[in-house]
Amino acid sequence: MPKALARRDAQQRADRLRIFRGELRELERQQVLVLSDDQRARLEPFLDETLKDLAAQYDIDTTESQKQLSLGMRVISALGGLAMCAAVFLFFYRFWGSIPTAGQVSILIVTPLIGLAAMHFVSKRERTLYFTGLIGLVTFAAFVLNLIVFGQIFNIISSPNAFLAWGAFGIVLAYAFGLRLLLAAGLVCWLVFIPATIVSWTGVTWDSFFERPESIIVGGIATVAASFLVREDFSGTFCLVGLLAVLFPLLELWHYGSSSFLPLDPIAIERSYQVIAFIAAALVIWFGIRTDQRPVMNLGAAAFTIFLMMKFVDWWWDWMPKYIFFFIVGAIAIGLLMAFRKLREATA
Amino acid sequence: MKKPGLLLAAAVVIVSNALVLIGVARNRAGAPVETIQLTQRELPKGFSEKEDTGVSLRFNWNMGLPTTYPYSSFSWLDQAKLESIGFNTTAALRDPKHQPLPRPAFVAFEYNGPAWEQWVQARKQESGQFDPTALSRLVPIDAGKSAEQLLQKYSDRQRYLIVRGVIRAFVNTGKASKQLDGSVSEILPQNVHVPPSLATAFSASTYTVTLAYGHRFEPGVIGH
Repeated sequence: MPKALARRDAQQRADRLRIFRGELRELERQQVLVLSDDQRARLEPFLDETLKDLAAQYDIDTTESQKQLSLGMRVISALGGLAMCAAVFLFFYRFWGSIPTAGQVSILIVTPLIGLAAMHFVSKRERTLYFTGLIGLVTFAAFVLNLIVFGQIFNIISSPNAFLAWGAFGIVLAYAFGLRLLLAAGLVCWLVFIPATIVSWTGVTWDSFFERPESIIVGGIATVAASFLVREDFSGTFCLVGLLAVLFPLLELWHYGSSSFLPLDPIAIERSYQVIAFIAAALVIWFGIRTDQRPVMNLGAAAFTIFLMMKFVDWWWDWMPKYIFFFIVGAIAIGLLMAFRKLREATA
Repeated sequence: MKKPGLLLAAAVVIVSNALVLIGVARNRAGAPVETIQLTQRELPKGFSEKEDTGVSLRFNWNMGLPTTYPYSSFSWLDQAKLESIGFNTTAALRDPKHQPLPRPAFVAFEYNGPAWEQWVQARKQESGQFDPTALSRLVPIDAGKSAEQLLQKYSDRQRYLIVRGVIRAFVNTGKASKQLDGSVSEILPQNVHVPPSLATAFSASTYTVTLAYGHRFEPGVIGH
């Protein structure tokens, strides 16, 4: 079992034990269930020992305040990683003019390799992988910088192949260390590579894939499909990144039917994609509920709301008094809340 | 998983860099395909951030179009030429709402030649006082899918420059009948990096640049 998964299972068990202990106290207070002294003498040390063992083995959070701190540490790790990425980029640009070309090439190749060694070294000394994740982001940025600056130094004509390499690098590191942020970065790179390659096969410039958003949807669907095949702790990231790659292009096709591959009237294309967008958002909500993935359900709900708002603006903004417009939007929001409440009760 | 994963990640870095460097070596192998000397008018210094210590030059070319209304399109980039580059002109004219996507092509530029002279004369007639001394003398005159044909057709290597570029096509509905107009929207690469050993020569306001293009039509600054 991957270490990240084992840690997650350990965290779930610790959470259950903590809730059990709190619920037991409440039952005792209400005199519903009162343990004998003998039972208490056996239970309390068992709970303490189990939590201590889990904490020692997996470095998990055993109290609510620890959980809050861990969340803060994850946020700091991500922000710190991004800041360090910016530092690497800017440091290089600040000094590279004074370094001969051979030196520039050597630094660019060696930096990501040093990053990999640092990840290995640090991961051996921590179980939570906060610092490993931070160094991982910097290493990923160093590899991105490596190929971008190579392109600049040697005046290479750009191609989508760099995104294939960056994606592979991010995904391999994510699998090696169980780092979801790097996984998302790698998937985004592949979601550029796939549509760019598809459009370049038609003889047009590879970076014009933004002008044919359907090509991005293909990669998005493939990524969502892959979420069923990948390891459990990564399936959510695959699913979310893939769904974003489906929903954002739908948003563009909603407005610009002329950017479709389909040789039809742009207005008809826009209307078709508006219907498809609503169906897609509803399916995402359904899928999120069905698979018990709250982020997926939230994404679907957010997309559905945005689509609905856009449709209201299209229909009513120009001719309706603004106070009536916002009143109707508010009333519909209340209606949606009631519908979601019913749905929640039905799935309880 | 960590160790094999790390080794695989290192392999991705090494293989990617090796492929890039092999490509660079292939581009530079043997004699350059073309060498040309330009000036700061055609290759001014590129925009750089305050903290960016690298030096790069940016291609600046003259469209060769009128500067006053009515603007006309690139006359040489007609429907037949666009078709030869790969544009489906029939489909584009039938369905003008779906603008064709840009296509990569080779573009022939004339340097300080008749196209430039004609353009300057036309501007002088239009506006009387006209000072062309700071403008780029690179004017696009032809384009094609393959470089070989253009290299043969425009064999004077000091007068013509064949580069990779991007061609866009637009359906012009403003005329009596729908017409497909083309334009050169980009030169690839748009910026040319100056090696650190040559960078000091480009601190002056005027300079010359010797560019060499390799087999993959990727340029390099080889002198000043």
